[in-house]
Formats: sequence, C-alpha cells, structure tokens
Amino acid sequence: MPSKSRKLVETRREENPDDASRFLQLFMEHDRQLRFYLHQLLPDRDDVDEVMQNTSIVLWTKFAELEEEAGFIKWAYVVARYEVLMYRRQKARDRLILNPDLLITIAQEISDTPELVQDYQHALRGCLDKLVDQDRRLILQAYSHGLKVAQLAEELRRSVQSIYRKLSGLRQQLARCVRLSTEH
Amino acid sequence: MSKERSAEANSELTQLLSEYANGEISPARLAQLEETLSESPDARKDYIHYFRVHAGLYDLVDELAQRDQQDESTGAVAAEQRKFEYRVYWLPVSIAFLAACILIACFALLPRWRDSADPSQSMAKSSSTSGGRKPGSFDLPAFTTSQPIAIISRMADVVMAPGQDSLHIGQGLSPQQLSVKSGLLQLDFLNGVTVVVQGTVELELISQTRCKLVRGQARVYADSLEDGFTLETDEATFIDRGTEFGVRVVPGKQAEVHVFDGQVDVLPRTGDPATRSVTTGRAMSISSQLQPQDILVRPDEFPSIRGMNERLSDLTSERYAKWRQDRQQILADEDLLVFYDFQTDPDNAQQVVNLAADGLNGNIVGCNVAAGRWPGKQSLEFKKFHDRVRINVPGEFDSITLSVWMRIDGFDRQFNSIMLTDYFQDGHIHWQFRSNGIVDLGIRPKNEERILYLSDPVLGYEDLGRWVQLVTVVDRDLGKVFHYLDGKLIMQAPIETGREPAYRAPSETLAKLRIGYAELGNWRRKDPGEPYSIRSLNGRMDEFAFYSRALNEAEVARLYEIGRP
Repeated sequence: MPSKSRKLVETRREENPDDASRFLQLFMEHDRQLRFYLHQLLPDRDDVDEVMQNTSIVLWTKFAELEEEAGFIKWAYVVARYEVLMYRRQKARDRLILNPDLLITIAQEISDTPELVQDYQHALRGCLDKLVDQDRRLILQAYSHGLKVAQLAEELRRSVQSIYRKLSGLRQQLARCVRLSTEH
Repeated sequence: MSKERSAEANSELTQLLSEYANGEISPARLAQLEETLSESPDARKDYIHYFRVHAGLYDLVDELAQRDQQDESTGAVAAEQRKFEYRVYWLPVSIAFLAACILIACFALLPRWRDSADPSQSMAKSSSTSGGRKPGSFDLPAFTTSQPIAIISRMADVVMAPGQDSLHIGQGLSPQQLSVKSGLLQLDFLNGVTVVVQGTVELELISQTRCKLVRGQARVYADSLEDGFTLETDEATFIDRGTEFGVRVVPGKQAEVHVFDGQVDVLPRTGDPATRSVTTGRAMSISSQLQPQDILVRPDEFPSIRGMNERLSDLTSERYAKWRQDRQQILADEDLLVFYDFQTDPDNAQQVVNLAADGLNGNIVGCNVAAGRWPGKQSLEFKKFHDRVRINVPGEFDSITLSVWMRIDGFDRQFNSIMLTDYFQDGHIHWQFRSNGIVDLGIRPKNEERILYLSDPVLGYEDLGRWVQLVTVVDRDLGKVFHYLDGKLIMQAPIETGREPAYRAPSETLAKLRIGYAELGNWRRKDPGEPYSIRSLNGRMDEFAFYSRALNEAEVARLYEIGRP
C-alpha cells in the first residue's frame, strides 16, 4: 500500500492541485463528527487518536474514490470502521477491545441511528447543567486530556475505585437525561 | 432501560459498560460484556447511549479546552506539535510523506476555510486539549509580600547620588537609605504622611511612621495622621502633633525645625533631655554643643508641595514643548510609516491622524480622550470592553520596529493587546503583553505554528498607572527580535526560533512580515473557526509608531529620551 498511495498522491497533485484544499475542507468539517463516532467504538482516547490519524491518511489517499462530497461522512465512517478493526487486530494483545463481529454490528447500528455531534452536545450540556457543581467538575476533569483517574484520585484524596464508581454513576445519570431530552 | 431484561441484568450491564469505559475491565468481564451485547439488541442500544455520553464528554472537554486557551498560549500547543512530528517519524516513510502533504496543505490553506477546528490539532492529533489551565484563570505579576513603607509620588529634576539606583514614580520603598544629589522628591508614607525633600538629601526610611534625616532639608505634612510621625536626626527627634513642619540638617553641626502649622515635640539627643514643644510660626535650632535656641521661622526656604507643583508644571510644559520640537526628528525618518500622537482632530474626532505620511489614519471605536504624558497632551483611553483603534497597514516587510508610549492600568486579561492583526497567518504580527507582565510578540510563519518572542515578566504592579515605552524590533539583518522597555533592552532572540518556554524547531517558512487590518488596544479575530479570546487593553496610549526598518539600540534609546515624560 505505501508505494501505491504515494503514486496516488503524486498523480492527484498533478491532476488537480485543488483536491488537497477540498479534501481538507471536508475533513475539517467532519473531524468532530468522526471522532464522536470513533469514541463510541473505542473507549480509550489514545486509541481514538491513533485510529483518527490512520483514518485521515487513508481518506486522503483514497479521496479520488469519493464520488460526491455529500457522501463524505458516510464514506469516512466506513473507512474509520475498517481502521478500528485493523487497529484492534494490531493491538489485540495489549488492549481490551470488543471483538470484531460486535464492533461491526455496533458500528452499523451507530450509523443507522445517526446523531449529530452538535445536537448531542447541546443535549449533553443541558444535562451537565443539572448536575451539582462538584459532580460536573469531576466528570469534566476526568475527561480532560492527560489527567489519569489515578492522579485525579490523588488530588481529590479519594480512592481510584471510588472515583470510578462516581464516574459510572454520573455517566449513567447523563445517559438517562440525554435520552429523555432527545427521545420524545 | 429496556423492559425485556430484568433490573438485575440491566444493572449488571451498566456495571460492565462502566468498567469498559473506565478502561479497567478484565478479559473475563469483557467476554461477559461481549456475550450480553451479542445476544441482545437492547443491550447494544444501551451500549450506544452510554458511549455517546462518553464520546460527547470527550468532545465537550476538547471544545472547552480549545476555546479556553490555545494558539498563542505557552508551549502546550508546540508540544502537541512535536508529539505529532514524532509520531510521523515512526510511520513508514511514504505514509509520513502523505501525512506531511496533508499537514502542509492544511497550513497553506488555512485562510480559506477552517470553520470547525484548529487544523494543527485536528490534523496532527485529531485535537488534543492543550494544557490543564482552568478556564478564566491566569498568572499575575509576582509581588513581594512585604508592604512598602512609602511610595514615590512625584519627582522633579531628581539626580541620585553616585551609586544609587534611580527612582521612578509609583515605586514602593521598603526600609532603606535614600541618597539624592539634587532635585525635588515627594514621598507619601503609607500612613498618610507626606515628606518633600529638596537638594542634597540623605534620608533613612525606617517605618511607615518613622524616618531619619541625615542630611538636607525636608518638609513634613503630617496633619492627616493616624498614629504620629517621628522624624529623627542626629541631634534630636521631632515628633509631630498634627502639623506641617520643615527640618534642615547640617551633619555634625545642627538640626533645625520650623513649624508652619500645629505643634512639634522636640527631644534633643544630648544635653538636657527635656521635651520642648515648638508651635506654629516658631523655629528651633538644636546642636550637640549648644542649648536649643529659638530662631526665625523661614517657611520659604523649605521645599513644599506647592513648590513641587509649580516646578512640575514648568517642567512638564518644557518637556512637552521639547517633545513637540524633538519629534520632528522622529517624523523626518523616511522609514517611519505610521506615527499617531492621539491628539484629537477637531474636524474628525473619530480619526487618529497619521503624522508620518498621508493616509494610514486610524479609526477610533469607543475610547475616551484622556490626559497624556504631559498636561495638554492627549491620549486615548482603552477601558471599555469594545474600545479599540482600527488600523490598516498594507504591505510586506522584512524588518520592522513597533513603538508605543502607553499607560497600563491593569493586568486584566491573559493577553492584553497593544497591536493585534485581525488575521494571524503568513507573517502576521501579534504584539501584546501577558497578565504576568511578559512582553509578547508572536509571528505566524506561513506553514507553521506561531513563533513567540517572550520577555521575562518585566512589567509589574509598580508599572501600573505610569507611562512606559515599549519598543519591539524585528531585525532581519541581525536575524533577531528585540524588546525594549523604557529604552532598555529586555529581550533578544533569534527570529527563527523565538524565545519560548519549550523548545521550538527553527522556522523555515517565515518570509515577509505583514500587518494589514489590525487594531490597537483590542482584538477582532477574523480567522474563521479560531477560538476567540478577550484581549482588550486596560490603559492608555499616547504615541504609536511603526517603522519599515529595524531601529538599533541607540536609536531606541534616543526615542525614549525624546518621549520620556
């Protein structure tokens, strides 16, 4: 694949220098949505970062195969799903990730019930606002980049287990709340 | 959750999902989760709902962090950038090539779109948050925890004795010896007592209520006092009792006290220890050889606040006249493109007139006219959130000099605008200072992350409310960027790497510098999709200049001499 993709890029650049611009525009437009999708398949942030990067490269090399720009995100989902599977195969030994069949099924079900990240975010914020300050802070801290739960626990002088329990409860609460606010 | 499954099964599923999301699931429990999910479509629905929260929270913190602090903040982004470079390195060569293609194209195309995210982040690592700073928090200048005992409130013609550090208005003084060769100096003690000294004076500041005059003459205004004020000399101690008095000390000879108003108690150091009182209109001379004697009171011989006012008024009008004359030298410079003195144009009060050339006038938005460096000299006050001066300086430059006379009234924002270009791309310039007193020039090369040229935290609380001159020079011939404060060099750094807290790879794409649409004292970011932050200045500007060449150190020092208040 490496040599092929290189050739692709060179051909592309000769053919149409504007492709890069179009590709990047599309990619940036959908970057958030794509990450949102991947986070539903892979719980760990570092895994998502890795897959996101692989996906971006594949999308670019195969950009010529995309027939119409309106189909970009659907196409990106397919590529990303494949990259998730590839990634899982590579990391199967040291990462605990759902089995491939399940990943495929769930990925399909996610794209069957599409949810725009912006809309979801809106609902989620509404639900976060309903939490007490302390809980809201805790959950945002836990999701902030670079802060491991162990550190957080130390900072808050609580056990790792109690933080995990607390986070589980809060996610559960938020899931219920978002569900209520989006499903009428 | 769904009705088909029992409450117990639901709770078990929730537990599994939570372990999986936390990254703490065991292989056995993962198998259990897989089994549940494969069997039940409803369980998978629950999975999706649960993980949407998970995904949504990641998205939210990314967004918050990006909005909060990014772009020109510390080295966090640069660090991200390097992380990416590192990663690319590990990829097979041709893929690295691809990634580089995408990345380069991405930067190159920056201006044209970008409405959702910062590409350096989303491309490089698909957005990682930068730094753990809490929203809205920032560093402030360092300050000593010990309170000063007195403040220098005014000065005229002051020349310090050899070896003494120069003083500046607003400076807080801790207990110390002050040695002045000549001039007029007004000290306000923190308890409300004012002391004016003149000529050759040696003064020892002891506490908020106590000082010692070793040599020279002083007038003490102690009528508004809370806890008494004591002025010591070698010959006697003078304790004021709600009063205005003068003291003159000839070392080794005598001390005189002249009471203009109220009463002063005199305690001679030697001889008769009895306390004597001196009242309004009387004066006394005390020496170690002779008995204290009454002498003629001579109010006119002592420095005074009124004398200070008169001298300052003369001085400032002289300085102002001198500045108006000397600035012709500045204006004669062929490379001076913009020179604003912020003097109101009666025909167009919303315009800042460029005195360097025709055109390139600025437009005032908001901003009150305020007093400038000297009485009669106007300045513009940037106080309100939307106060700004819009400018447009077209063209491309190799070397530049930016110069401003400004009065900083607060370290209100993390970034405080001096001059910020609307866009920050391809050679644009951001000139500002940070909440912690760092002078900050940022240049954005065409295809790279911005380069920062950061001074040490040179601005502090004592600089608030005084007129300071800041000059920044980008000197292409020397390959350096310089910052000056009040004519003195405070930072120099290579153009290619800047001066940043973390290592930054040398720039390879820094071509021309440009300004274009920009504003003084505020920021109107126009790069689409870029996070916006509040950078409005709290302060005043009374001179702004832009040169299309690099001024050298001597020229900057000269500018300071011409402009100093």
